Amino acid sequence: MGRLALFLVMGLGAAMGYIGFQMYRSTEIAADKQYAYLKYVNARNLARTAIHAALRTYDRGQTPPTGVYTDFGDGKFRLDSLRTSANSDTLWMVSRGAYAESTYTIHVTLFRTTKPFPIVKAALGIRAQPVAFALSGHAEVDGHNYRLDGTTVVGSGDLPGVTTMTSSDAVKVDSAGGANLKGDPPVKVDTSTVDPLAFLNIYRNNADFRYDMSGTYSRTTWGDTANPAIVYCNAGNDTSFSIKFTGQVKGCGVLVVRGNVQFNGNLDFKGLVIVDGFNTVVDFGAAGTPAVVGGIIVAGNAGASVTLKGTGANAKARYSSEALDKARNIGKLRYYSILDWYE
Amino acid sequence: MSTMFDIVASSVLFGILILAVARMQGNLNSTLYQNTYNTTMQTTAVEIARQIEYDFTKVGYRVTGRKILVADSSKLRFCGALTYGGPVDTIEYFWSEYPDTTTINELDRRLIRATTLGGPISQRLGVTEFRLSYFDTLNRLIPTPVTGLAKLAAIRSIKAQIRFESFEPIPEADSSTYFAVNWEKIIYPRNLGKAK
Repeated sequence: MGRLALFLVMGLGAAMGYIGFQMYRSTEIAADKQYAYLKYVNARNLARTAIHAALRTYDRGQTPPTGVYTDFGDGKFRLDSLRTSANSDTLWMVSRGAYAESTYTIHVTLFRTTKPFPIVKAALGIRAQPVAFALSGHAEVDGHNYRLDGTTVVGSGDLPGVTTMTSSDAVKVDSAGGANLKGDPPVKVDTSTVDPLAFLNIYRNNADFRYDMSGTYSRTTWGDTANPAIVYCNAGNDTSFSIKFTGQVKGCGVLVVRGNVQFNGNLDFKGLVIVDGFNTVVDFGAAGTPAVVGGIIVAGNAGASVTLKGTGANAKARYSSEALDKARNIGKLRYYSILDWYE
Repeated sequence: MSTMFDIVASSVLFGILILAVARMQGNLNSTLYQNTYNTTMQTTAVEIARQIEYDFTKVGYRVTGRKILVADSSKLRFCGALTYGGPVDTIEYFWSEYPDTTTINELDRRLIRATTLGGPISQRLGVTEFRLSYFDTLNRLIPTPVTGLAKLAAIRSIKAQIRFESFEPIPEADSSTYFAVNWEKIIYPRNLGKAK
């Protein structure tokens, strides 16, 4: 009897164990399925992260590495391959995300460009009307198409020295500039000049260098041709020189000037200068060879007063399509359009 | 006398034990049954989620013309290549209008996935709800059915909501209670609104 009871209990125990194991297996299968989905989703997110990381690396003016895994949490991602078109406006990328044993691959083709850029069709395009224009000293405005260095002429693509919105303003500018205005022709009426006011908020919000405080600054570098920058000088409407650059100032990109700014010494700026405000004086000081190579636009504030001063012998504003092309390639203003996305 | 008492007592105890074991066996069977359905439901949800994500992310891939052809609350027809560099296909998802009569559940209907190249597949999954919503570039809901080329072209994301229920009701519960799993996700097909 005792032996029978023992066998009965052992049999019951075995049956319970089997049933328990089946229940455990059932739960485990469900958990495995869920976890497999989690791994798949994480791998996918990491593959997408690889693309975003690569684009941000590009925006910093660097080339993202390929074939190198980056650890991220419990997973990792990498760029498998990267190819660009000859003019760098198209990117082909293959990215891979890995989480546990799950991997996810994405193939993308992207078109790379920058946000709309105000086009200047002269060395100095004046959108404001009427404009009080003064050009004193030896400041030269030249619409011939210069190379990036600002010294040699391309030989094609020449533009007017100054464009205005009305013929009366053209006469006024021509009279004020005289022989210091050069180009094809030196002064012209062009009502299609883009008003940069619509762009100013973007530039202000994305500025790499901001000067909101009055003061004197020197030895300043605002990006270069490989990494152009946005500079925002907000001197306000004070008629005194509240922002003054005294020493070596050089840069490339977009320079927004609101109020009075004085550049003394060897200003070397390549790109687009936007003159905002109502009483703006851009003063090229007496010493050195201050120069803007690219283009200048005066925003369309009614009755804007703009003065270009060049008390030295070499101050100049020269049109350069090359400089403007470089300037527009600002990382912060870059965006990508999807041509193809496979995942 | 004492032997007789032992036999009677042991018989009673054996009977109680047998009843307890039988009851436990019933409960275990029920739990096993529930676990099985639970697993099936969760597995189905995960697999359909992956299938929908895979297909919906291909909307517009390698397509130069219209990408979404029909967009309704329970029906979506779109163009896209399902493989990398592969041929463009027309894919359609829709929820049948009629209940699936092969199951006890009165609410479930077949989910049909059809491709031009591969033909239709009627999926018996216990889908009791299949709802699609569409959003534009500002994440504004576009009312369904989405009609007109401009509105179809404005779609930038698709929200899929699915409810799966077991084919049979939960044992020992009322006959209208079923195991259920809900899954929903907003999918942004990257090829919608692409530059070319």
